[in-house]
Amino acid sequence: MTEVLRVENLYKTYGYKRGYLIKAVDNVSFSVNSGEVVGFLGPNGAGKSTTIKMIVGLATPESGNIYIMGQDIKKDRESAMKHVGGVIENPDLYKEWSAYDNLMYLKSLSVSKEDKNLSFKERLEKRKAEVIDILKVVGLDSRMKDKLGHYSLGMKQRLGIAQAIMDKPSLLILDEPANGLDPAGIKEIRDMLRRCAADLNMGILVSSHQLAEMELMCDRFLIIDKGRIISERNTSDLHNGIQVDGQNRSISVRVDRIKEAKVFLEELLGIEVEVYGDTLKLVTEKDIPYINKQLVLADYNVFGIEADRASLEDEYLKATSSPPKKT
Amino acid sequence: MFNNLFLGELKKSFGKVFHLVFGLFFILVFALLTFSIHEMNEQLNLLDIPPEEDGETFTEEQVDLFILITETQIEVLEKQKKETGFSWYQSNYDQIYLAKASLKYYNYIKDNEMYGIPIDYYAGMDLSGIFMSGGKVTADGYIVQMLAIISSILMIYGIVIASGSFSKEYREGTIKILFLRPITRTKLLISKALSVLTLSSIAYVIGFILSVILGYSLFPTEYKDIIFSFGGGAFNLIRSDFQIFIAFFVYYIEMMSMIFIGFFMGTLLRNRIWGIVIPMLLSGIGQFIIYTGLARFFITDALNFSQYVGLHPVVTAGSNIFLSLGIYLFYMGGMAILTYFSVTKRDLA
Repeated sequence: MTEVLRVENLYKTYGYKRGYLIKAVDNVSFSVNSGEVVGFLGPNGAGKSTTIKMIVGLATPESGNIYIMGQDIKKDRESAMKHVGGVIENPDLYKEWSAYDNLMYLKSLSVSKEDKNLSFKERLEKRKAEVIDILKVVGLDSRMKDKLGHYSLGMKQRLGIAQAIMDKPSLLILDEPANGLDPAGIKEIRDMLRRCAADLNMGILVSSHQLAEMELMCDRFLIIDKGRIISERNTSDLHNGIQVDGQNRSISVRVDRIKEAKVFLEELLGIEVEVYGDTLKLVTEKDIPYINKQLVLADYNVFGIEADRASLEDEYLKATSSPPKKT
Repeated sequence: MFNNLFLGELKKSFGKVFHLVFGLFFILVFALLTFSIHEMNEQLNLLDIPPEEDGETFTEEQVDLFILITETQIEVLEKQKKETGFSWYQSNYDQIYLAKASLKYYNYIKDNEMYGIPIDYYAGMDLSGIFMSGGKVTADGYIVQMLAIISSILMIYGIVIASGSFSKEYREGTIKILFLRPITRTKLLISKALSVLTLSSIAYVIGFILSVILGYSLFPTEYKDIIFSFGGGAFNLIRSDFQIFIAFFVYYIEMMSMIFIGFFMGTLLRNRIWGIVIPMLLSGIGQFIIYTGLARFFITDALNFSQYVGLHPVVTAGSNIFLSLGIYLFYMGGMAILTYFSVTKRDLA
């Protein structure tokens, strides 16, 4: 696993407002590895866009370093950008041109080392083939000669992603990639990004407010608020159950003779057990197979036993203490 | 890769409707002007006016006398200036500069012993004298007049394209996609500037070729020897049609400078409207302050190089070719540097 992006102590302010220094991004550090999809979450104005803009060179940090594939963007932005594809804020392309013309133009601005040895005609043919291929991947090949002015937002999103991935970058940065897409479109984008990470080994940084979608798409999350990274979690950690503290996790048990079972478990585990309808809730360091075995040995009928899973939404709300604003 | 960037910029400039409308307008203006000038010549033909005599002739005594008078005039003017100091509100023409240029003109005649020879002078861009013969417009006159008109029309065309070159990308957000490509912003800036330069130049050259073809096929040709001066300093005897090339470059520089002011302003302020309005505003202010001492420090006056290519220069008060060049470089260079930093260093909002 290669580190495709490393951000170190990024800092940027937006001047003073009513005597207070507005810190847009305050000492932010994180990294993205190849083959990994990282979600970048936070309320509006938390510093997501500013951080992303600094990573791709659209804004300049006051201090801190950004390395893309080990290259410092301050020293050689052009070389570093060869490894980056992205859609920042909106998939804005030339609306008076067709999808094909847009991609042909953008593709022509990055000639790879191998292509430099080809003749002009060969290079053009290769470019055409690659553009048509990528348009097929995003399902726009049948409308590729239509001007973008006639495209729906969803089609523009797909085209934006197409231009971002067409050079097979090591780092893909997407800002709200599922905006304006219908459920089928959202699934398509999710599958496409997962494929990019798995098959092409891209490291992907995605910013979005669609928490449920991000939970399905991402391997890891960074939550930023007031310019600081306030939480960093792996999706697998969320799915392994709520970590109440370092060792204990929350477990739900559905069992018959619920009042007796409550007393049995309290005596067995030395903890307090709560009753919620037909379910017992307990917080323990013991694992599920152990609890299940003890209940069965004590002749209880166990209908269900599982670790309580935290959703990304829970995690997000806990971290930011406020619901995300809709965009 | 730079070629592709440049070609892409050319392609972006081609909004079909805009070019169609502008092309039709251009052809219409061209046709109407050519027709009216040609018709005027035809009407004058019917009047059967005898041809004008060529130029002025001088005797040695006359030239000596003119030199003496002009030297005295310069002395008086300089004394006056010393006594009254610099006036902020005065004639827009520099009387001392004009007198000095006249002195050089008479000295040129004296040095080359051009006595008794008819001599024409070229008065800046005042075309009525040299390019008309017997009251009629000659081919040279037509071409130079057309160049003046073509450059004015293309100035508007160029400013519209140039002012939107960057600002449209900022407004529509496409600049982010470009900045994400592995190209330096300097290359992008250069390719945009070059595409503006190329498009305006091609249109200007097409206009020039058209006017040359029409000029020489529809209007009479008459060549005269004229005394030409550059910046009131260097004098030479040239054939009258050489003025076509002088006019070509002078109008070209003036047109392109205004177009680039539009380019710089549109880019700096990231707004096409300001990119169009500011050059117009500068022209307006230039006209407004022409009778004040401020005019010589103003960009529109500095880029008016036509004032320095004639025997009777109508040079702005207190100005000279070096001051104008300095002011021109100061403004254009300053705007270019600011634009460079704005594109390469400024954050995207």
